[in-house]
Amino acid sequence: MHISVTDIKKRYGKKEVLKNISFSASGGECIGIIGKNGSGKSTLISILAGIIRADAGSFFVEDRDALKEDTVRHDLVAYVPQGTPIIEELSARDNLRMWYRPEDLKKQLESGFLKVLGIDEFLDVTAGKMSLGMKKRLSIGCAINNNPKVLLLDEPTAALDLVCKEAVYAYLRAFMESGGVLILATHDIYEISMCSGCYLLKEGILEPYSYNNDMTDLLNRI
Amino acid sequence: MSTGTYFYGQIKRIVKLFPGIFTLSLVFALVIGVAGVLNARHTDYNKVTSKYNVGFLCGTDDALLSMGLQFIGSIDDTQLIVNTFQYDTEEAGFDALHNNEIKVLVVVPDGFMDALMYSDDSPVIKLYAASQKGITTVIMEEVVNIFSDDMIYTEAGLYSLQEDLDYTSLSQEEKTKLNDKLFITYMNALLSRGLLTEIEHIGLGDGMSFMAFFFCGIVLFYTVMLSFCSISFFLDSHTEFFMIARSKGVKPSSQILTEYASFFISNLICSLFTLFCVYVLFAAKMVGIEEFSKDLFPRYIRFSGYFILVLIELTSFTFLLFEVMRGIINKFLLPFLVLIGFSFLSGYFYPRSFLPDAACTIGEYLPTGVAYDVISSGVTGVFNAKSMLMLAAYTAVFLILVTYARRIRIERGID
Repeated sequence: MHISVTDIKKRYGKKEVLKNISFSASGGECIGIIGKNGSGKSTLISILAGIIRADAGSFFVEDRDALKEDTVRHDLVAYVPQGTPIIEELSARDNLRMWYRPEDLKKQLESGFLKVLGIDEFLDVTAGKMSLGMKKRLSIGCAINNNPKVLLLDEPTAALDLVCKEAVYAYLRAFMESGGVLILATHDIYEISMCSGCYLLKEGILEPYSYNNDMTDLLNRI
Repeated sequence: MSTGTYFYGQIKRIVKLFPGIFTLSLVFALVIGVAGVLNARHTDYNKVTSKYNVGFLCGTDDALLSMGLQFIGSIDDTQLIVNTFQYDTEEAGFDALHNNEIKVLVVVPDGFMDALMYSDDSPVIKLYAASQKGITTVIMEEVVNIFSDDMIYTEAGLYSLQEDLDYTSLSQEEKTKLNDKLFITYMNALLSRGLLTEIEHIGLGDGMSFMAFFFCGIVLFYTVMLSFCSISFFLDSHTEFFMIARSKGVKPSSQILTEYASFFISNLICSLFTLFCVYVLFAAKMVGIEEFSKDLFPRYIRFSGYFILVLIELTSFTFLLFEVMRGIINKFLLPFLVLIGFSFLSGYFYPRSFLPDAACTIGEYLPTGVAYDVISSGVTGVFNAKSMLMLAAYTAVFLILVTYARRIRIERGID
């Protein structure tokens, strides 16, 4: 399993948000994208998820360009946005039913990633009555319905308490162990330390960054 | 995720929200229905009692002028719309105007009758209106027409004939006899015309009976406002849900179509239930309109068919408004103001033809105005191809615009 992102460009009007963004990763790796608010992290993740069109560039998963072939993206890539993309009026079960085939849902809840995320514990709770951590876990659960090989997460544990964070991290570790590629846009130090490779996004340019537990250095460079 | 499962989710949502939506729509239908029926039954226009009070400031010592004013308030063209009052003094006339006893004061200057006789146009009649826009303007025009067509020309003709008599070689006694005969003939002609004309008050609005006009207005206003009963469908921010659905292959167009379908089905169920209740009232003859007095069932079915077409268009319009507005207050307030304004211009509360020309034209081409024309076709049974085409075009345009708005919303992550 290998992915490569090559020369992604994006411009909003006169502002060039992303300039020739390139990186690559193999199965089991976690790539962290670091940068201050407004630096373009979410834009990059959204492009890779197929929500925004890039002006140029490619995103190869194995040997197929996911930016050009929708089916590749639908089959192999999953995206979890910053918030909680679930329907508040529906229960966890009904939310999941929108994304999973019944037999897959049953299987995932019994022994799959949905079990790892602990969603089986609050299946019949209406989303509007869930805690933020439950919503986040449910969001991830909905996003990974296609058993993805590449998981794109935009600040996955922002505003979660420690217990919820740990549930999410448990899943992310399991995902990487299964050979998946994780791409994280994050501000979280623990998540940065989880990454096998980090990149700093500043003024539209992505540069490799090696985090060595030096917060001052990170703050100076960001 | 497929478009089908996305649709399933939206239907589930609307089902969860439906008890509230349905209850609200019933309460709303009841309130607007009762208010509308009471208004239609007791309105002054229906009783033909709401006349425009017109005051005339002129000398009461001129018998011919007084007679002319009396005729203004009694002949066929005017008896339904004006009451006349005559004032001797300027103070009395303007007091009446300021006290809202009259809407217009017509000042007939001294020497006006002599000017008619000698074809001198220097003394000009002046009209003072209590207000200047809207219905007052329309009635003012009517009053001017009455004055110019019925009073001035007729009496100018009478004076000319009197003047012609002076040039004959007849004696004064014979002239007086002929003069009286001429005057009596004139009066008889006016009275005969008034008596021979039977006026049937068929209504106010666009070829429909009075009650049918009100029925259409009430139904359309209900339809426009019905969407507010479902506003909970639009209140939570679902941008990230739309984003993730987009990344899973559910395109904005598919999202919009499935959401619109769910929204429409909810509105359809609520409105069909309300229409059924109205049908029961019609069948029980508790309320009624002239157009449905015969063959109620087939005509009501025809009307319901047209209504569904209108519902398709108005639902797409409100869907667009709710989609583009951000924030709970804006989402409610701005569409409400837009829809109230559009409803007024489109003649939901008052016949469109009573509005000034420009407003009338604008109202006709607004989406709400097109809906009015289509639904009135449903009442009268007269097919209006132009309105149907415009209705379809508006629906298509709204759905395209809302799809575009959704695409922008997803791409920019607008909450």
